[in-house]
Amino acid sequence: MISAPLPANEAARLAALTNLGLLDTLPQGTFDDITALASTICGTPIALISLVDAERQWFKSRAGLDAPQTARDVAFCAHAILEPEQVMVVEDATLDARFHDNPLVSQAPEIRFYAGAPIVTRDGFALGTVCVMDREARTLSAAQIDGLRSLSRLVVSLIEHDKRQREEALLASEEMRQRNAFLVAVTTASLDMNAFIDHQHIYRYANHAYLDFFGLAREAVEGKPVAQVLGKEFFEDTVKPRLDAALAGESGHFEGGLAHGTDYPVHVDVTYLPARDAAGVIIGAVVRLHNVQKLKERELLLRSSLTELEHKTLEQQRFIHIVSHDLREPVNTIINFSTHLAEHYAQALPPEARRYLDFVQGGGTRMKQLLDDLVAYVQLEKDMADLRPVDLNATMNLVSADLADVMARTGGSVDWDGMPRVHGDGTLLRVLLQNLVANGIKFVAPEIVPQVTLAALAGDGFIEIQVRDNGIGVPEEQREKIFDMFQRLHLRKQYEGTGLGLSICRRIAEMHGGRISVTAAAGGGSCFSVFLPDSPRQLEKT
Amino acid sequence: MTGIERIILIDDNESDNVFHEIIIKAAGFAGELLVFDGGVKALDYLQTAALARPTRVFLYINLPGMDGFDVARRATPLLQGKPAVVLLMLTSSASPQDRERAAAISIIQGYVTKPLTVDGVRELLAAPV
Repeated sequence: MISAPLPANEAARLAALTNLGLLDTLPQGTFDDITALASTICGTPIALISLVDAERQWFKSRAGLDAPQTARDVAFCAHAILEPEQVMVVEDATLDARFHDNPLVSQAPEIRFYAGAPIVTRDGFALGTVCVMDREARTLSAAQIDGLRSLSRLVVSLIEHDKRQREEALLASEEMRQRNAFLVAVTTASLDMNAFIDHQHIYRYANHAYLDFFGLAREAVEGKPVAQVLGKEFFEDTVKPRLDAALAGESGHFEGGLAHGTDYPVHVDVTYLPARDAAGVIIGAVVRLHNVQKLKERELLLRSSLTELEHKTLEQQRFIHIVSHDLREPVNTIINFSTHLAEHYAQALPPEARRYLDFVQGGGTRMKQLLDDLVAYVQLEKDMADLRPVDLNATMNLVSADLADVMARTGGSVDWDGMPRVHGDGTLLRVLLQNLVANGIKFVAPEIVPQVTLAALAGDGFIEIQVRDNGIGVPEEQREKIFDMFQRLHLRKQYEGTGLGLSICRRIAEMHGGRISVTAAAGGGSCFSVFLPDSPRQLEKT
Repeated sequence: MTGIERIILIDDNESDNVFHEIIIKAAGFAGELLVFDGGVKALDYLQTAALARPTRVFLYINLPGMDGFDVARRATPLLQGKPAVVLLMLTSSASPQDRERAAAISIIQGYVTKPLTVDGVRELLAAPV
């Protein structure tokens, strides 16, 4: 007997074979069909799918033979794989030097005929054969040999297909394992408190945050009835109706104090959501619990601040009332009687006393004016601008009428042309423009006839209203300051004023979401610019 | 009765100035009494005034335009090293912010709330020059 030598690529071939994971697997119908077919095509009693392992040949499928494997040194197939391209045919083994004294020939099953078509992978490894055997010497037709070769190719396809399938399954299970790992990591790290409850109201899962919140160990929750974990009464009254709703397909919600596991009730927000499997069948309920204690505390704080604010606003209104009525009365008394004294008793007073009386009268009048301006300014703080379309031409007609007396006294004039419609509070804009125009008329050098001119410019997102005068101007370093409260630039005997007018103007501009500034007008004088948004916008409530 | 020879009032309120003149005289002051209704005029005067003469300056804080603190800062180079001239701020309401601002200007040596009173002026006049 001549045993087959090892193929040149034996190590790699064996690795490829092992890698297929086919050795010692259970019988499979498809491979058995192939051996049955081989047996039928070649008309032989025995057909095998043999894989040549290091020390043995193992049969993936066998027809007409009981042994699951034989030693490699007696294997016909060990010879067949040496010529991967050839179908090896041994017509009479007793006449073949390699096999005549082979125990498979000399003893049972007394093989005489052998034909084997190598199973060659795409990489060129001959793993074994599809072979047929007979106990009588015989021959095969060319068609039968071709048939055998086709079957061996079919086995290769099958093996490779099997391998691919196994790899895909492995990959899928690896993916599942990873997905699971991700989910576990996410729910563990989550600050949201989550749990899963089944139809029997038993916890099936609770994440770290959930367990932490209740201060319970995993085994004290998972597998335990909700009633036991949260208390029977709380479960029956609060949890069960919502949980049952979720288990019936509707989400349930609960917000309130929860005392469990804490010394004092913690305000929570709990949602019960139906959990469905891929087919849409409800398999339980997911509990989502948020600790909203901090939020609740902030809400309460905010509410008390709001109450306090309302209280303060009310107090402020009362204060304004006192200022505007109660303070006005004594001021009026001063004005009334000093005026009466001056008119009817002036002759009886020495000259310096008359001068002092003038001071009393002037002081009283100034105080009255100051009170009016102060009330107007504080009133602004109280009011919300009532914004609607305003035609500034109409506003200017009113302003001009308001100032008719001053114009007549000074010979001054105010001109405007083609003023735009803006979105604003008509009453407030009238106050603003009246202040600016009155300033323009008031702050002129002696002997100058005041002239105030208004113009409107469209800007990017705003409208600029310019109020120019031919007055004394505002020094550059004072241009920011003049809008502050009680800022006066001039001596009282030169220019009257309380120092509130421009603060009122600025406040009104701001209430419209706009601003006000002043520059030097060309040819002397001032140019006040009021910038108003050109479209309605949300304004802050002050 | 006193070594103070000159009192300077710097205030834009005419009636207060007149009233303070009456009070200062009523307190027994017989020296030179000067009144300026703005910082610029007062500074002009100080440029050329004899600053070795014992003087009290009452400077109103809330002046229009250049306020009392601005005036005090500009007067600093003139009055430094002239101990005979004492600068006091005059205010109508004692606000803490004003006190802080006054403390930041070293030339300011005091702080008086309006109106001046006869007793208050007497006390000032009696203090060592």
